[in-house]
Amino acid sequence: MAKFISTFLLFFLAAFLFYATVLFIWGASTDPKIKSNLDYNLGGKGHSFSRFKEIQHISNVDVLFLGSSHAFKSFDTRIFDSAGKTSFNLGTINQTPVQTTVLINRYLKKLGPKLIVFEVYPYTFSIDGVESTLDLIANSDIDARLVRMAFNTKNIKVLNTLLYRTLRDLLHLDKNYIEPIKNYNETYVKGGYSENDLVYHKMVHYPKQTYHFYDYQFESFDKIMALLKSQGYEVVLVNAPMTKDLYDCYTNNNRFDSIMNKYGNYYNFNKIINLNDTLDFMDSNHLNQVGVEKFNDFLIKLLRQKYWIGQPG
Amino acid sequence: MLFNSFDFLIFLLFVFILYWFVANRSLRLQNALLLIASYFFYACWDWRFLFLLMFSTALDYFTGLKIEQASGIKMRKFWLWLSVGVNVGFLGVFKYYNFFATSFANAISHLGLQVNPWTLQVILPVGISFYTFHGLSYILDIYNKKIKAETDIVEYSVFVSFFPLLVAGPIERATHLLPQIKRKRTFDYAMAVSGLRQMLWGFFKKVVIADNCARLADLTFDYYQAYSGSTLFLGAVFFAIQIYCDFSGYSDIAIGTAKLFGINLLRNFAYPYFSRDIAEFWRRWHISLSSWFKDYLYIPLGGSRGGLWMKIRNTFIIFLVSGFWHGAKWTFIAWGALNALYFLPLMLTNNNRVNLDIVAKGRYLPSFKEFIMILTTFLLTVLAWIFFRSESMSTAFKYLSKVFSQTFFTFPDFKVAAGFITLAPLIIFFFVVEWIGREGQFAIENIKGRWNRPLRWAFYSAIIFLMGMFMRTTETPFIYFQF
Repeated sequence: MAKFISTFLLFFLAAFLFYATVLFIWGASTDPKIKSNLDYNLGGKGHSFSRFKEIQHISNVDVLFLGSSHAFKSFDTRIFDSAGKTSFNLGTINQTPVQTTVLINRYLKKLGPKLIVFEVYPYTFSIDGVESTLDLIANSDIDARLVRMAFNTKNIKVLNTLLYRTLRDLLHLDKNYIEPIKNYNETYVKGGYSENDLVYHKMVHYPKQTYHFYDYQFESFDKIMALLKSQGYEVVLVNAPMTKDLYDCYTNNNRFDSIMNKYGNYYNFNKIINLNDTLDFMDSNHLNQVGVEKFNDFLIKLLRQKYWIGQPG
Repeated sequence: MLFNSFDFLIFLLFVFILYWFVANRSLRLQNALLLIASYFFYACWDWRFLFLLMFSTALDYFTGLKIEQASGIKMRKFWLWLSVGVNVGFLGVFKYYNFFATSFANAISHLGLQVNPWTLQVILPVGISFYTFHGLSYILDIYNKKIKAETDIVEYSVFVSFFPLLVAGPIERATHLLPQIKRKRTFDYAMAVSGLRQMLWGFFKKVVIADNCARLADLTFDYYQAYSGSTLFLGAVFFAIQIYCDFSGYSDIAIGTAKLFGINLLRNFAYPYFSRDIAEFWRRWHISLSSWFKDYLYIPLGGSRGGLWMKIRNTFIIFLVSGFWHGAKWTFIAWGALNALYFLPLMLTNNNRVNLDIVAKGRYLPSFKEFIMILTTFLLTVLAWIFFRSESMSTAFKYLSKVFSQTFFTFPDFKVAAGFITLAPLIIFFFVVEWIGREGQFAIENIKGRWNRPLRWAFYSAIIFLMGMFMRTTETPFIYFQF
């Protein structure tokens, strides 16, 4: 038995070294088509790299935005600035509550926001968060929480990408990487916002469908809310606007609303603000800059009415 | 708990450590641990059906003892039929009731009578076909006085529910497995290493080959209306490879896992796609089920003794029952019938036992004639798999009619062809390794004699890397779990 264990451990070590070496060569040299289980996208869509780089120099903001692309494409930090409120947008691609947990544990204390605007998109409660985890692995710092989250996904693509990123870090390969301010038709704006080139949405009809929510996403969300409450943070939950066509095709929006309403301070802007599906949106679920400005003005008024942020000056 | 999951690897490690470091003091402890682990493993699927498994086990245990103790033939028969009746009854209710009810209603409707059949909303308990056949073989062997009834209920329960084989076989025999369970296992280094090697190859077959072929097979079978004959043919080939790698991969993992606990299970596959005729194919495909039917159905029916019609009848019965065993669908029965039709000419011309040895033994390549025979046999099985995979008989016929249309001579659909090009190197690698290793119990069994350690370890590591790079990101169940 001793021989078996020692041989097995030795093989395990050798296989790991082999795996890591070949993974590194594979990741650096092969076509993306044949590395479907490795998705290291440094500086990919969403400007996460720039956002996480900037956040290192930010502290004590008035408003912190959390959530998915709906957050970083809908909450324009410049508009909040001009309203006299400092803010930071910590939205990332398809960020689910599981990833939000990692981010708030990492940055909340440092940012010390007076108000947290938490964008809650029903879709992010119905996905596993792998895409967002990959985004964090490629573009943010690696810490114990992120590693734990990666292992919890039990997803080989996530684990490969984590190992690949670690190898690149060890060799300092991305040390001098600078993300272009304009990337994939998006321009990074100081404070974490991403402004898209102005385009208008072309109408599409969507068949009826239902969100299939994951219980563990709601459990994570519940823990986040409990943590924020215990630390005395003011939180506003926002279901950001999407086109009516897309919003109405989901049959269980009301169920989601009723769950969110339990937490209080929940605003479903699909029911509150009247926007034009073509003129105010760039695609079915993201506002264009025209829509962003309308939405942000509306939101700021609401936050002031409710005394979550003070009057200007 | 799927074999191809992190949970299973943790479970296996935990049980392995307990087995060899805590329970190795006595046979009773070893068996008790295996039983607890097996029931836990089964409960992870659906704990409610654990009671069904326990009941079936207890029933066969007690009826086995009663058959042995019975003084007269009448009582022996009574206990035998009680066990067979209850076991087959459970199988009938859970697996076949709805099929018979709806088929009866459909048949009646042809006579102009409308019947609304009372169907059951039941879930098929995982592994029921397998553990029922374990129990039946045990009872029949006692009745036929081939074995003594087992007196220790723990040992008997381990025989029925040993976790590596519980949900999809191999279908074990009491004569083979029970003696191993009754003997204290001591750790055997060579056996454990062989087990790990077999598991590795099984995992590769499942997660790299089968799951990737499944993606393309599913695409063609689910949307067959949209594709040309050549694409559908390619899809059927993908399914043929998928089902082999899925099921033989499962069997390799099961057999390899059992070896880690010092137990040898029956072989289930012997490179069936290198068969030179259909008879050889059936000696190499799902061996534990084929031999079960041969021993407990074909031979009691008279086997190949008797007249010509008797032979034909028995051949059809065994193939149809084999098809029906897979599930309550006409497509499975058609698959069985088609294989019977393939087999019949060989049997009638006494050529069904010609190719008994390993193809091209001692040679690197087959002769041209052997190659053509292998290819022909493979293509015949591919056609039969179309019935097996199709949702209904009408779908199968439509699929086949498109395969045999003029569009067979067009270039396959880009999406499927592109998938094939990406997969082709992996499939070629797989078949080359299987071909080279075809004289072993599993493809990489004899690698130790051929290569030194660094080379072997590099090869294993490369297989692990291919798994890491090409496995699907979601756990996919094994096809045979549904049977």
